[in-house]
Amino acid sequence: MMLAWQTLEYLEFAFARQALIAALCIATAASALSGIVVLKRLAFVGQGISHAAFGGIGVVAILGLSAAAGELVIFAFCLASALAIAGLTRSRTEEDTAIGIVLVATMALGFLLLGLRQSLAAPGGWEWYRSYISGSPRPDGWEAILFGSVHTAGQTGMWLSIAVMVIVLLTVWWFRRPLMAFVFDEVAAQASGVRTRAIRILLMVLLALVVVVGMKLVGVVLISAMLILPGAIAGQFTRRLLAHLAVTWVSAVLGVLGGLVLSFEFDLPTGPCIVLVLIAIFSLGAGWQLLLKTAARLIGR
Amino acid sequence: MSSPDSDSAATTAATATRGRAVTVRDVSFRYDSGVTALESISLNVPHGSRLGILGPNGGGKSTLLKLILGLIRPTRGRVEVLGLPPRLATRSRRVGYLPQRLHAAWNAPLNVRQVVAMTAALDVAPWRALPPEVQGRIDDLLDLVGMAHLARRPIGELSGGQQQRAFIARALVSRPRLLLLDEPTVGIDQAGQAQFARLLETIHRELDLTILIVSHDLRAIAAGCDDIAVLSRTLHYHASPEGLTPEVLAEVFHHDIAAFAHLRHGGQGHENHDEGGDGDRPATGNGEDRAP
Repeated sequence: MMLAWQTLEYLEFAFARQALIAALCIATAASALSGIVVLKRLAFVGQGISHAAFGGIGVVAILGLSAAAGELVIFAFCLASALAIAGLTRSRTEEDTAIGIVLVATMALGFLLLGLRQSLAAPGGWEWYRSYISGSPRPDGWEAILFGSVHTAGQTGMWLSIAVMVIVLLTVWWFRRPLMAFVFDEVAAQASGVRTRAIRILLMVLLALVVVVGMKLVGVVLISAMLILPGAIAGQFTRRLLAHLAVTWVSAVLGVLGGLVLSFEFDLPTGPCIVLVLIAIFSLGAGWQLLLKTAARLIGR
Repeated sequence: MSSPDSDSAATTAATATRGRAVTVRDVSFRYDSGVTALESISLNVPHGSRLGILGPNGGGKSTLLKLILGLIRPTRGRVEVLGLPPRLATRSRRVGYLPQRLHAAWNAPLNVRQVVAMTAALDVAPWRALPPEVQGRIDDLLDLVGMAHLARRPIGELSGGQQQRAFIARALVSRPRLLLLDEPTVGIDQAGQAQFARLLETIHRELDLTILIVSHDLRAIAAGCDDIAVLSRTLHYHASPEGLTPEVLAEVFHHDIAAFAHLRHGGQGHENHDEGGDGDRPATGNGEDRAP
């Protein structure tokens, strides 16, 4: 109780309210894709896409771009890596290998450019970056990129999150029928005239959008958790469509709300807090499954 | 399960005048990897007939199916489906396709009805609901395949035979003139297979369509086909099931074992999904195979 009370005090501040709204939008957008990511085994793809952000950040650093241009460059990097993964997978490379290659390539590029920037302009080489994340004096750059922070959303971040949520929800709704066929059986979908390549690319674009806006809150390392865990949790509880969508959304929202409270109260990085809450829900689901199985065995006997 | 001779002879005579469901004229197909999957195949499937294409794994069955569905183009030769280029025939929904069951994501949160409606729903504008006429057709088909009482059940909780019947209903929703079945008996037990054969018999009788079954399993084909073709890169045999001698089978399958070994070493494994494996696999096992 005391914890929640302190969080309410935090919400007097604009940055906290903005972070809250941004978090709810990201949770909603991510949950709309989460079921697809889990069923279509795209979990690791999210990881590859988010780490590509490092490459983008490196380019932003070396060119000294503004925040808005920076967003675009980072989005372009995430999208390009998503498409590169899809392209490589179509030829002779296995998907996990393709993701591994793209992930390390973009990260290496990012670190290289950041290092170059630092040696060119140190000290004060991080100024560009501070303005990029929020203008707030804390937390320090690396930690925020890696693990996310409530301080990095800001008003722009909030509006971007709202926009991405609207785009993702509308697109998924509009293409729900081909998406459903694609997820259930790609070969059969193709035989029914679904343009599976176009659908795959569309999914990559949506994933890149969610990753780019979600990254600042949850961090590069853990954003894919937002895409994996809600769908995985729903899979434990139900095999009915509406219930599945509901459980996915509720668990994503609980995850970000719980994570934000923990982050506010104990001044911890936001990403790990959100992920821990989601993992806790997932464990509950696993426990529930175990309980059901045990009960079934007892009754069956 | 095979129909009386007089019956099938009458069907053939009646349908001969109506042209052909599938025409394959001197078709060869070579994959980018250089592996030749099909060589100089010619095949005529009259309207209303039931043809089984039997062949070992890696014998080019899936390639032939993809050609008929218009998913790939032949390296040489021509394919016509219902008098149209294959792609057009498929797009116009006049071809019903029963894919291999093992490819599907059985963990998907969909019930039987949603799966059956899936293909028909693709033709409905995004802002519209499924029209009542289509809904009615789905109900009729669920009755026909004996799945009406399971319509609200999650598809992943059904047995292999029940899933197969749901898939048949899905393939029939858009009232196709040609039904293509890809390895329909894989993972289905004996009782399920017998039931499936009876269902195909009913469908053929009531809906007046052409049925083409592709399988490596002789039982799948012997059960419900008037004609049989044996495919192993080239077309080896084309006659009624009664005329298929053990010698022909032995020759073809032996021939293919060598061919398959060659594929394994030199090829890209494009036929890998043919190796779905047979035997009685419970549905939940398939689902768990796909779990992350």
